[in-house]
Amino acid sequence: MDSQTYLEINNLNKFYDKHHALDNVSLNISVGEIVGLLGPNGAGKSTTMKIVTGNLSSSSGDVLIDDINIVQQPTKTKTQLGYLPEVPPLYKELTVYEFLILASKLKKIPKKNITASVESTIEMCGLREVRKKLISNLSKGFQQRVGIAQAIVHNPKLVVLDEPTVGLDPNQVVQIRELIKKISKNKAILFSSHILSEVEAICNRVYILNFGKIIYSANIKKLTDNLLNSFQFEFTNKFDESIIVEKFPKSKINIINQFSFSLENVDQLMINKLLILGIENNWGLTKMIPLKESLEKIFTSLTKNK
Amino acid sequence: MIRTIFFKELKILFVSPLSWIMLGLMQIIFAWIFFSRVDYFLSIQFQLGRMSSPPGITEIVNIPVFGVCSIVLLVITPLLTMRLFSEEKKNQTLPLLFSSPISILEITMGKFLSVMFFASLFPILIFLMTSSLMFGGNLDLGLMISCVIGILLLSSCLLSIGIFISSLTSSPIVAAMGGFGINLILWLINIASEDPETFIYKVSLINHFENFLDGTVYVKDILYFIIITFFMLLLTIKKINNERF
Repeated sequence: MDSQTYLEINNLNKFYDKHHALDNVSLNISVGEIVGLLGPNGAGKSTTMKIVTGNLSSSSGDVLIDDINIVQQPTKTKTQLGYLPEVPPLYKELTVYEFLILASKLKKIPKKNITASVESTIEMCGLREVRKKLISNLSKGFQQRVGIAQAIVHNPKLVVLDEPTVGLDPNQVVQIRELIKKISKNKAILFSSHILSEVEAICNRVYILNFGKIIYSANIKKLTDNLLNSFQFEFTNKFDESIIVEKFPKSKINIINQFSFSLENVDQLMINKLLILGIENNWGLTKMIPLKESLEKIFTSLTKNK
Repeated sequence: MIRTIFFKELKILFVSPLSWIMLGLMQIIFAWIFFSRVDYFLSIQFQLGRMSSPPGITEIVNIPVFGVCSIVLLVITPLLTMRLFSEEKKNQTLPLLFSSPISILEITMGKFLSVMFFASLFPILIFLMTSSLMFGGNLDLGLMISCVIGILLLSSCLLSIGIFISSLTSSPIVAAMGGFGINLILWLINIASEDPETFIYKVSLINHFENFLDGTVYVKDILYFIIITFFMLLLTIKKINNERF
């Protein structure tokens, strides 16, 4: 574990009878990072999060928070942990303020600091206007904010968020994403989602889980950069399709019209070659547009047949 | 941390109209029984005067009110405990407790003590109400205290059964029905056997409770209620802990 790593999961396994729900999952998160846990439904995202937060026991493997094993010292590690499950754990009979006071006490914030912690969390999560309202009377978006507020009220170093934008309308999704970015300073955030654009918008790094195994892990920039391998070419004059097919036999060519086509799996050499072809045949290249393959497509190709 | 859970549960209990309705209805029932018994006591003054050692006002007026309280508890306790764990499961709020630095023992004890506090209001209110007769007669305070102790022990036993049933299901209604069913079985089980040496007779709630109404406090009766309470709370802790496996 390097000095920056705050959460470390080593060879985590979970069996439900004979079903192998988690298969040697290992990952780590440093302070200041938002790490996305991606995967289709049933991939093991929530199971991983439940184990990390002490809601589920593992069959084998270790979870270390700040170098401390969560099984050996649960009380100590849980004071540095905030968790928002898929369904926010809210006591809807209480007002927002009462609930956050309760959450502060449960997280063992010293009595003299409780009011200040609750007030600053209310401010940070934009709950000022609803602080005296019963949680049952709040919209889903505000309830989700209250859920995030309870997870950060004790200023934990590790925050685990399980699909925090599920069921929200687009405006609420944007607000929650901004809130997550805002709280990410000086915290390690583990964030699960099956919405890939969301992970791309928020996370620094991503782990893709499928059937309980991590099948891909990368820096989010690297992931998106890898997707930039298709281009659309537009010309002022008609191009000769047979020349293109002859010169790029291994690439998939999509003819859009007489003046444009797209090419997949393009590398730098091929671009150079196409530029020369355009000049030699006087096609008059006007545009070269990188076509970003959707994350969904990559995700599907990674998670199918594995 | 037991204190935090205790106050959280009390807060939730008292924001519910059900608790206030329960308290109000119980007071009406106890007051009605009390005044009926006072009326009866006044009507038999002549007969009492002719007896060599007549029963006192405590036996005729006060003890029946405590007796009614014990029957009322059979119905009330499942209603008090039905939501303790089942509602946490239904509303999926247990993850908040599980991810907090708090043990399941503390969670269970906090919940148990909160409903115990609420249930304690019944014998205390009855005690205060019946004590008003002190101004017009001589009360057997020892007998009354014995009844209060009996009611408190009975409450703890019934509440712990209710909490355990609540930990088994995510439906508060099922928890209430299940709790009431078990309470009733334990209460009426003595019908099956009149022989004090049989197991059934020994596990009957009513046989152990009635001694308190007579003013006789046996250690075996106290232990009976404490052991059931302890055992049921232990089962609850085990059950909730198993939720994590």
